[in-house]
Amino acid sequence: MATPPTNPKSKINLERATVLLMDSSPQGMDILVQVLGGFGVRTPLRAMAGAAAMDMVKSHLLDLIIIDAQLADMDGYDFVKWLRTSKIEPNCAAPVILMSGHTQVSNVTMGRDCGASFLVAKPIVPRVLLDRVIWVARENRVFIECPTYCGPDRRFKFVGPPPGTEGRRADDLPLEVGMANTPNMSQDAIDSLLQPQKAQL
Amino acid sequence: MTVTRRRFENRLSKLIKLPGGKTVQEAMDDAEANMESIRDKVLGAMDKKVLQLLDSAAAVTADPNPEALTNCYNVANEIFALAGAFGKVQMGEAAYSLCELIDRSREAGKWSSPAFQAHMNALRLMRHDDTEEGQEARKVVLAGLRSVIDAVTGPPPKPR
Repeated sequence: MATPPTNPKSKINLERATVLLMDSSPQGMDILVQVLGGFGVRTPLRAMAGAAAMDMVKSHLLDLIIIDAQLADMDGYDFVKWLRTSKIEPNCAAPVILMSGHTQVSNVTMGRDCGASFLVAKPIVPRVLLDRVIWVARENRVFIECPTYCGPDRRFKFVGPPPGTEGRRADDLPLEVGMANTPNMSQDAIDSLLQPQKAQL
Repeated sequence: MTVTRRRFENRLSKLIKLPGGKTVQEAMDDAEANMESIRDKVLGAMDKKVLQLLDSAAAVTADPNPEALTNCYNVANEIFALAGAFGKVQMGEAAYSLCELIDRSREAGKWSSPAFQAHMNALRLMRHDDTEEGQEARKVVLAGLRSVIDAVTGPPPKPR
């Protein structure tokens, strides 16, 4: 997933962002709190178990959720799935960064389909995490709700439907370009488009 | 299948642009400085987890039941995350390899106690020797662990 490079001199302000951090390991939570503190987050909400986090989702307006895939009482994937289908607005659509260490073979597709905004591989590196936070702050993907998936649109590169398929969306364009249905432009018209023109500034 | 497409306001995108705050470089520097302040505490806790794993090795070898293996997997996964965050890359790789062994063994329905023991020995080695001079030897050990897993479980399975 390509991320535009972040200018080191550009400014960010996370002082007023309400961030929920979820990690069942005390040391993992310590790392997250210190890193997010460095980014400027004032007092992040912390939950070490899914049940406590669910209560926070119900009682706080959240701007960002950072969650470990392995929680004490449930999988992080299941929590994200619950959040996305919870209908607790606007938190159900809040940006979610899911962190994963070793991913079990059986959980690879869960990571893709649970509805997280971004997956980050552990170990946590401040530069990588900050890039991802800025990325989810910049994005404005459509929120999809259907029986098999709930979360931000997983197709955000706009490269058309997958090869060999016709696409399921009304605005999917066919891969093959058809015949022109209007007359070709004249060479003069093309030249005039390319010609530099004086502009009054 | 009914698909609903909605657009929610991304509050974070507004907040992050508010006046004040810090530059991206300052944010990264501050985060790294904050992490450094908890380095000893976290690595101390990580070392206890390694010892916990090594202490449980004999019991797991004698009876590799699913619960014991899940416990080993979770502890090794934590060690991987903590070690890597503080530059203990090879310790992290050994712990990751143990996760890989347990996960792929479960998927393949096979178990090898010698392969498990090889991982325990590797973790013991990483714990006692993190010197610059021992780096090449540790690389060889890590490569050996990968071969052991392939030999026990076959090639890595494709995601379902």
